[in-house]
Amino acid sequence: MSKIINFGISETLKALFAQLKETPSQHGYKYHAKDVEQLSQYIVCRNYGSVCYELSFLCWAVVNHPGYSSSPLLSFFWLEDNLQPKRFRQAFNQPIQTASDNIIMGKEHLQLQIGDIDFAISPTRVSLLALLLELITNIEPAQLANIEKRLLGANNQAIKQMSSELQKLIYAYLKEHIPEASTQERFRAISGWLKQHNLTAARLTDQDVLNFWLSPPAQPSYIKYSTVLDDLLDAITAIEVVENTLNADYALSLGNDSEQGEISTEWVQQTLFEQAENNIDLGWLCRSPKFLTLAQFQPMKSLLSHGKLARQLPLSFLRLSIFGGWQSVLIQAKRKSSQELADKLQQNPNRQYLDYIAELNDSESQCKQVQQIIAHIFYSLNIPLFIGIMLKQIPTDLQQTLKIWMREQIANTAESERNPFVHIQQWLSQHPKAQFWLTEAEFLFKNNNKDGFKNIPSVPELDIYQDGSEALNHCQELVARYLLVITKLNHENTQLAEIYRSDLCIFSNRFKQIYGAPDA
Amino acid sequence: MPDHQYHMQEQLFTAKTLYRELHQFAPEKNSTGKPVLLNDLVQLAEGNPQIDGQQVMQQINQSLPLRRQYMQLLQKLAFANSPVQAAASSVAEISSRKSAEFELLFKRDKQFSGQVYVILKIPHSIEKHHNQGVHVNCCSDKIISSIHFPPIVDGKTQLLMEESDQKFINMFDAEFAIYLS
Repeated sequence: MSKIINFGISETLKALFAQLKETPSQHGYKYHAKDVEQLSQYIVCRNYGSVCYELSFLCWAVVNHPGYSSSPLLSFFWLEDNLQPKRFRQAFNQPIQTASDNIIMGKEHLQLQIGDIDFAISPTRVSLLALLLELITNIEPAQLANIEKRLLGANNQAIKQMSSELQKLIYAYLKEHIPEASTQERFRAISGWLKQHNLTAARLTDQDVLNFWLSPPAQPSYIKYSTVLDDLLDAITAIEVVENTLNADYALSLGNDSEQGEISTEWVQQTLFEQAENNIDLGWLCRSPKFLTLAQFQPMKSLLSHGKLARQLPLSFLRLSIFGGWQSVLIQAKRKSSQELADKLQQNPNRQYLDYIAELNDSESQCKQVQQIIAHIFYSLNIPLFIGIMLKQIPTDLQQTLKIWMREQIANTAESERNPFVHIQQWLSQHPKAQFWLTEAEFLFKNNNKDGFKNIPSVPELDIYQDGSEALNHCQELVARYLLVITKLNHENTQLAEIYRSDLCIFSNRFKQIYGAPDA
Repeated sequence: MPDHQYHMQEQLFTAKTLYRELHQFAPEKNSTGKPVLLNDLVQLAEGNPQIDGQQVMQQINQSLPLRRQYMQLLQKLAFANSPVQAAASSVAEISSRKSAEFELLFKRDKQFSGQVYVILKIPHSIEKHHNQGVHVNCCSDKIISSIHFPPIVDGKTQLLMEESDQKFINMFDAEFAIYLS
């Protein structure tokens, strides 16, 4: 009964991706967490065909670079670390020409001309492609030498062949490490259950989620509340997305593929990761620079993962945090001893719904504060981007004044030809409230000793701070909207405590059923 | 519902579920199940202090493919090397190793028996050796060991070791090749 359902991905593959994020360079991490996440998207969507193709061309360019007498790939990607766009451009700054081929660094792309085929590689893609090569090398170390041998002086036919071999290699590896049968079984069970209860994304309620967990379908075995919530919401979202897609006559663009029953993996990846309103993984906010601590990020994680459904199902996420957390404790205890399990089963969870709300409030204000700190960084470097952040955080009347002023600036071309930063400073000097906000930002910066905030970063490093500011703003808005729903729910300040007491009874009974009731 | 629609839904669900599982993993620190990437080997060979050298070296010594990969790397990266000394008898202890670029020798401590001073001389050392010190990698078919010497001053550096230390024994074993990095 207490068997935990079998997850699809092997521990080896999980550990491999974790290590790809962790592996160091001389300064910090070798690969950006965002690249690792993107690579994993290609992998889980099985959409790695075109990246393998791109990588094969990139390897061809490196292997045929006259600057490397031996082990070109090792030298280029590992020893010289030519992953950043700037370094990559530098490495190819001299045009390379042979009888039939050309390699030229253009303004935007590295242009390859191989026989009668042209191919362009963007320097911003190189870090991702290098990561794929690291993955391939881990799957089969001998590939590096093989690629070098096969691509030296090779024509475009050989490059295509190389690409298809790399695809086969990854395919065979994934076959071993991602058995899809278990996720297919889960989808079958959930979609069947939803149909049976006539539920759609719009109609799903907190009570439905609880009902599912209390009496799940017979197969597969659904025990963990967190898995129930994730699976149910992932399934219902998938169903909704496909229906919307088909209703929007988007099916036409799926064209021939759909006739043959084949699904474009590109479509899967775009739908899930590029068009989705919810950013499913912002874990990089806790890395370097460290925008948030894990404790500040963790409470928001599940909300971020399910976006608008979290607002539709506010109680389900309170339950996830408190009772899902309790269940994790029980699972841990079960591994240790039956006595430990019995003890934990007797104790109530050490947090209640209001504690989770307090954590979210704290996360929200952290998100706001760190944005203010980022504004200080931009301001100290004389970069007007700080205004965007300031605009969101200053009092409404001042916001209006600033907006009107900015509109005037844009309209008045002659004025805006002057240094915009000097101009802004003039405006600031007339508005003490805005000045105060900036002074506060400076104070917060000085008190933030986390990695990436000890000193003002240099201008080329600012991209990640801008990304961070946007992501934090997204988190902040999402949490604020969720908290608003909770406030409405708890309008007399007593409802949540009541619901908690009733839920405690429900979860406690169910856990006793699952993990064995101690003899009272 | 048409099959195709169902498969599209199933595929979206599968991809998202797998993505979630892939990133939910919290690796245990210092666990031996941690994979070793080529980049980890490169960083180890280059003496990056962010690599847990002891643990990675242990994994290298437990896996033949990793050992091969690492040996190739050392050969590529080495500042100098001293090959296996085929003619020497494996029983006889050698008291020094010499190449055109370096000399490695040891002296016994007169006061404390069992302790040895290992002296490494590099007459034409590179800048890295003045800042970061020198790694002496000892490789046989079965095992690789690595010792870090302090930065070179006036063409030499030294290390106090136990005579019974396996790393010391490997350095002066004719069956081990030596790579300096």
